[in-house]
Formats: sequence, structure tokens, C-alpha cells
Amino acid sequence: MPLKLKVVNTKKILIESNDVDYCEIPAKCGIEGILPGHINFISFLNEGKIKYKTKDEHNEIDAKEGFVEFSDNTISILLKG
Amino acid sequence: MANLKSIKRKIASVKNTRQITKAMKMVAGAKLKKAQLAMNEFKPYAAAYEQVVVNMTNNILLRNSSFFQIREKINNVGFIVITSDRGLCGAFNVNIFKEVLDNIKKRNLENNNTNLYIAGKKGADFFKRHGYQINFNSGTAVKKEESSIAEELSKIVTEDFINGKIDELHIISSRYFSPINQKPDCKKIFPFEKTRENVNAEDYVIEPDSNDEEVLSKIFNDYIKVEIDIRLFESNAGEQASRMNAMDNATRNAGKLINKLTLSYNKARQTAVTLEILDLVNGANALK
Repeated sequence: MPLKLKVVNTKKILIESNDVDYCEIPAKCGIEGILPGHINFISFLNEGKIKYKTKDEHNEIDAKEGFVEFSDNTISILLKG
Repeated sequence: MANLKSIKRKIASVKNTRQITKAMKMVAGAKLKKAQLAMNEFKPYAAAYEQVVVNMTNNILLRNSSFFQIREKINNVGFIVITSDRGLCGAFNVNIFKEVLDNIKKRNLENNNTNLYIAGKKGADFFKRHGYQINFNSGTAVKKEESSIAEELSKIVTEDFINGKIDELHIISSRYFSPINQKPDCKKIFPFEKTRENVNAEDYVIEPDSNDEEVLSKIFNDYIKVEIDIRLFESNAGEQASRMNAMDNATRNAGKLINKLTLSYNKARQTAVTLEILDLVNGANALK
């Protein structure tokens, strides 16, 4: 089952995708890779790049400050600014 | 029959009023567009944040947090009330006051058990006049620094809840559905409640794990702030929409009044002309 990924900041929705295979997040304690079935977690973000892979594309966006919540195979990333 | 001059003066004054209300309608329309844009920009963030917090509150193991403390006896209740700074916006503020008073009545609260946190000048004036206890009053600055008000307010209410000054917290503000539909609404904030039975009973891993209390309290504090923020945006948009409708009505009513006055003015003028002719005819007859 693929992951759901939602990235928003206070101005708009940056990414909303329902079939993400893999996602990499610059979490506070180091870069975190997420595959389907990952344990639920909450973490703040460091400055870095959020990378994610859908079926045949690799994408990435910049992240500065915010936090991530993962549960139910859904990644919610809330960025500041 | 009222005299011609006074009717004429009245028409001129109503025309002036109509011009003012028309201008106010235009201004409100322009401001509404801006407010709507700001609100729509912020909405996805607020919605995503709310979803995250709902997910978190449905997780059993996080329930030790002080935000979930359900008090046995609810003595003191806090209300965040968001109103507008200015009047002339129809029933916008009155509807909110009614909702607040209804809520106070429903809970059988005394004045000194009711803690009000008010954003918006109109609300502060109203509740001061009625002798309620106002714990926080943002004054007039709602429009300019929305975010700072939310920050200040969220800090104060969180402190008051954790220190036990209030046992419950509700937020009452006007929700914006469309330019002609805004409804006052009351939402419970503290204590957090779970909305559904636990589906994923798994615990969260909280990082950095050394101080998970801090992480959680920061996320929850921010949530209150976001919640207040989106309501400030919605309230602002609602106020402008409400004012636009009110001014539209006022302009229309002024038009009707002008028509009526013009009619009576014409009637009066006609009578005057007829009387004059009669005078002339009578004068001419007398000379014969």
C-alpha cells in the first residue's frame, strides 16, 4: 500500500499525493526514510530537503521549519511560513 | 402639506447618506476580497493541522499530557470571543453576543465564573458594559497584527487552563460559509477530547525523544494559535461581507426614501402652482 503525503505551509498546499512509495525527511535527529508500514512518529524538522518517490518520478522540495506527523500510512508535513 | 424647502433639504440629505453607504459598500467589497484571499490561503494549513491533532488525540498513550485533563467539577469556563472592531455591519456582532450569552446561560454560570478572552473592540465594549469579567482584551489591533494577537491569546489561555484558572475553554466566533452566510459557532478547545475510538492503538515515536513533553506541548500550543488565527481570518472576512450586505440594504432603502420624498415634493410643488394660478385668475376676475 503506497503512502499518502501531504505538505502544506501557511500559504498553500505544496504537495498532495496518494501514491508515494518512499519519502525522506530531514528530521531533527537526522534524515529519516519512510516506507509503508513505518511506525507512527512525530518529529520536528531541520532545514533540508524533503525527497519523495512516486511510481516513476523522484521529486524534492525545500523545508525550513515545521514538523511532521506520521500515522495510518499518512505523512503530514506542516511547514512554517 | 410639508413645505417645499424642507422636503428639498431632506432629499439632499438622504442623497448624501446614500452616497456614503454606497462608498462604504465598495470599500467593504474590496476589503472582503483581500480578507477572503488571506483566509483561503491559510485554510489548508489549519485543516491539515487540525487533522494531525485529531490523529494525535485519538492515541491513548499521549493522554497523560495536561491538555487532556478532564476536571471533575467544572467551575470556571473560559470563552474566547472574536468580534469586529467597528460597527455598521448588520447583525454580525449581535449574533456573536447572543451565542456567548446563550452559552453562559446554558451552563448556569455566574459572572465571576465566566472568563472572557476578547479580540475585537465591539466585544470588549459590550461585555464591559454588562459587567463580565474580561481576562484578556486585545483592544483594537485585530486587523493589523492578526498573528501576534493569536500568539498572545493562545499563550494566556493555555497558561490559565494548565494553572487551573479555567476548567474548560470554548471559542466563539463567526464562521464564514459564503458572502451571504456567516454563522456564529462555539467550539470546545480545552480539554482535548478524542473524537473516535482508537483505530491505530500504536504509540507514537516522538523525536527528539529526550523531551517529548516539550515537543507535544509546542505542537499543541501552536495548534491553539492556528485555531485562533483561522478564526480571526474568518471573522474578518465575515465582518466585511456582513458590512457589504448591510450597506447594500442601506443604499437600497435610501433610494426608496428618495423616491417617496420626490413624489411628495412634486405634489407639494403642483399644489403651490395651482394655488398661484387660482390667485391670478381671481385677481383678473376682480379687475373686470
